[in-house]
Amino acid sequence: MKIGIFSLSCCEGCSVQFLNLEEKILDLLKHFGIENFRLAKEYNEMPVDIAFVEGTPTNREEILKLLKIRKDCNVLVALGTCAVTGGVSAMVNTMSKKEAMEVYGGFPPEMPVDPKPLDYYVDVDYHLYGCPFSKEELMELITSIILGKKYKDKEYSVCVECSLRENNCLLDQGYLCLGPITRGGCKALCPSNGKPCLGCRGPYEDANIKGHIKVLQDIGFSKEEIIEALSLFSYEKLKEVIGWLKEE
Amino acid sequence: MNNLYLPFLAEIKEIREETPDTKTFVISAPLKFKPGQFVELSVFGYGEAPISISGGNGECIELTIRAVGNVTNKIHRMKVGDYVGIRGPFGNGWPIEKVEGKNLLIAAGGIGLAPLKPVIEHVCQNRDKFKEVTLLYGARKPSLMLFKYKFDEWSKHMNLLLTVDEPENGWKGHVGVVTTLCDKIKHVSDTITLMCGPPIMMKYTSMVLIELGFPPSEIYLSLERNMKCGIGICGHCAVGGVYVCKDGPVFSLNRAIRFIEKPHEVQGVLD
Amino acid sequence: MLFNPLKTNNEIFITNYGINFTKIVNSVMNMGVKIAKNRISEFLDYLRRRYVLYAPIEKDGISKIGKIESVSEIAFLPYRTKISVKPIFFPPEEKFFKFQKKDGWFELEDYLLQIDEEEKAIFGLRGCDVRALEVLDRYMLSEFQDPYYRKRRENTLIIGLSCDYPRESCFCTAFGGMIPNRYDLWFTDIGSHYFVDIGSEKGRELVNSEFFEEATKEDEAKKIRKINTVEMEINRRTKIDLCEIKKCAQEIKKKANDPIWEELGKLCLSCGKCNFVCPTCHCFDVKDVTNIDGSEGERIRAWDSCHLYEYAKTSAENFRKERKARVRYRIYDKFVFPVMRYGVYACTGCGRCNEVCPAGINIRDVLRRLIS
Repeated sequence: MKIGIFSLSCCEGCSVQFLNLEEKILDLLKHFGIENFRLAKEYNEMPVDIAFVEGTPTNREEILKLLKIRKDCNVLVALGTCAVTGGVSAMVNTMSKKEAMEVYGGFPPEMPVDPKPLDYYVDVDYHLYGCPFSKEELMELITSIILGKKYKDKEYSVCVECSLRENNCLLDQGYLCLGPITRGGCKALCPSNGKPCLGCRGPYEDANIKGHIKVLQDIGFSKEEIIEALSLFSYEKLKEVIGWLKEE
Repeated sequence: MNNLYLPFLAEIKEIREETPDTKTFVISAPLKFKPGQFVELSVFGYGEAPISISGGNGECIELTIRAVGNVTNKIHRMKVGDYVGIRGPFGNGWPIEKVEGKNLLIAAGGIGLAPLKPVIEHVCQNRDKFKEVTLLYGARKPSLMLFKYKFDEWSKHMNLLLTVDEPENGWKGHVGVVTTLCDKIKHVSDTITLMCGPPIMMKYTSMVLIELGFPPSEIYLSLERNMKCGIGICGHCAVGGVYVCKDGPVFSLNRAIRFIEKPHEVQGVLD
Repeated sequence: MLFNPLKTNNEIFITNYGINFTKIVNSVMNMGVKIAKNRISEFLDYLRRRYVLYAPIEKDGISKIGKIESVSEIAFLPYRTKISVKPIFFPPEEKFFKFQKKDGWFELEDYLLQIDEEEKAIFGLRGCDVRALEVLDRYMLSEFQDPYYRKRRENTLIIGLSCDYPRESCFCTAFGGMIPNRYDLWFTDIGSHYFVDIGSEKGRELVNSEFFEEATKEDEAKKIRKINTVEMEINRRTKIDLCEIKKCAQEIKKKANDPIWEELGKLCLSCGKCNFVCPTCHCFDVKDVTNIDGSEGERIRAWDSCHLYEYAKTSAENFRKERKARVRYRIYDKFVFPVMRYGVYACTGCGRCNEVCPAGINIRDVLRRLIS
């Protein structure tokens, strides 16, 4: 099978994470040829069986690129937060165009398209969450594809994995932690190292977001602080609830 | 110490295509089982799934499986001679001993006929022990009906009432959901009903049967839950304080409607 | 003691479950003994040499029960540990067996055989955790036995310790107070000494060692005073009465359609923390983890939580889609279902779920509302 790794607008951290697989990449190469990987290869070919796409389109060219990738692959995987939720790029959507131009100093000259999750433009077969994505989950997905198993998104929060690691709860210590609404699968990497969850994996389907907003307000966080935290990685997914919170 | 979580290896001896999405696997497992019991089927690397036993002869068991999840899709891709793992049998099974000397109504919907097949076979072999016997079976389409090749034989021993939701070419029988056939059942009193099918079918059939005068204590249903361990420990199949895996999967309707957490299969029945 | 839910059928419990518990001695007939505090280290070291010793330890602000290599590691806390004793017997993740493909056949390697058959002694367990073990025994060692749990659970000596003062969330007095009725030895701090109750033949053998001396009537009075003081403090905060177990379960059962579930469903974040810290929660998920081509792998069980969305999902339907149904299920599975099945609550009043709930759901308040 052939795989390709493609980048749209992003930091390309997920591509780097692919290289971080180290010895597992050799395992991978027994089953796959990496046909397309700008960061690591000179000659790139299409079509591929599995396309991993990181980043999010921020101009028309990139939208076309994405559509072309979709056409030339069997399985499309949204790789990392930017591809899954619009990510950090989508923060620009919280501002007015005028504000945004101020931030970017009038560059680029032509106002780009609003950053959106990939599934806004094309059908996405699998999502790999996180900034960057989790290596374990990537291997799980690839194993599932090889064995013909269904790969299922984790339908539980970071809190589940955090409490299984017997961590001290950061909410109890007064941190603005988004663990309770953020999709698990990262093995609670940040909270296990004393840093509150920023929600880089985005909210999971069943998340009780309004419930968590209430918890954060009870701790003493202001509306603005909560909105800022929710907008950091998941503005596109949480637009509605953020709007509701602003109104309240 | 006997490890109940450790499956034994069993060979697939024969595979029969039943419908486009359902196959029957004959598996070399010398298990003594009661009709209505289930086994935990392992496909190593894919996990375990509870599957009811649809037949057996003491040396082999038959499992009739529809491809819906990881385990079931994988076993559909397996061949004769491949190995799977088996644990069990688990569960209480159908109360056949209670039916002896009485009338029997077997009501099945779709894949729900599989756990009832051992009962039907038992009836065919011991026909004199039962009075009137009716098999009520509904499927979505004629091509999705299980065990069609058995119908001729079965109809010698019992009254077969068949129905489909959507007729296909050549279907001359009844069209409509299972409940539309209920008024054709000729015996009401002294009848025990054994029922298995999708939740919605069991719910409406129960309602209609009660209206026709079948007492809820004489209607038995088999519930489907996500049994992970099969032995009442993992908690996944718990509903209203009972473990479907070890207290069930067969419950009388009378009991099921009194569970504290009313199972979906009987929600609305006698409310 | 107010009442002990586990008192019922105690003898049957022992024989049925076949666990190698030592025979209970009637502690009323035997005057207790005491041990001077300055000899406690010597005694624990003596224990450590004869048994694999477990006791409370504390690291980075997290207290739990851990294996003890040297007596100096033991944390003498005034109250229960933050993490319960459950993981010692039922770890968060357990490998059942390994499978390996060999010429179309699979070789299975049972990890049960790798669990050490050790004789354990656990020192410093509190009443809530000891009772929780009895509840777990009922779930894990009833008609079908969990072999992995059983192998760890067998040959375990329990040396309990009364609390000096309760944690904020404690409410063990609703379940019979600080001292359960099954233990080998039970220590209570009475100033310069620990008063020691003897609960079993094995316990009696231990107090025959040089470290113990006979207790006086006065020591016993001190012990009773101590217990009463702490329990009164817990009672003052708790203010719930769950003594009539059947009646309470009936009462809660009637509230199946109470508006409280709707309210709690809005608050609950479905994080599962209450399940994981609960010393009696025992649900698990089973999954296969393989290498990249599936030629070898392991079957693993991992703790699961009834608050999670996918808990009651089958191939056809999700039977507890709504959060309020999941919240209700957990409360019922502590206070109604186990009462119907085993005649006990599956709660021991440790209060850990109150402590960890990010949404501030307090099981004491919930119970107070359900029973009032």
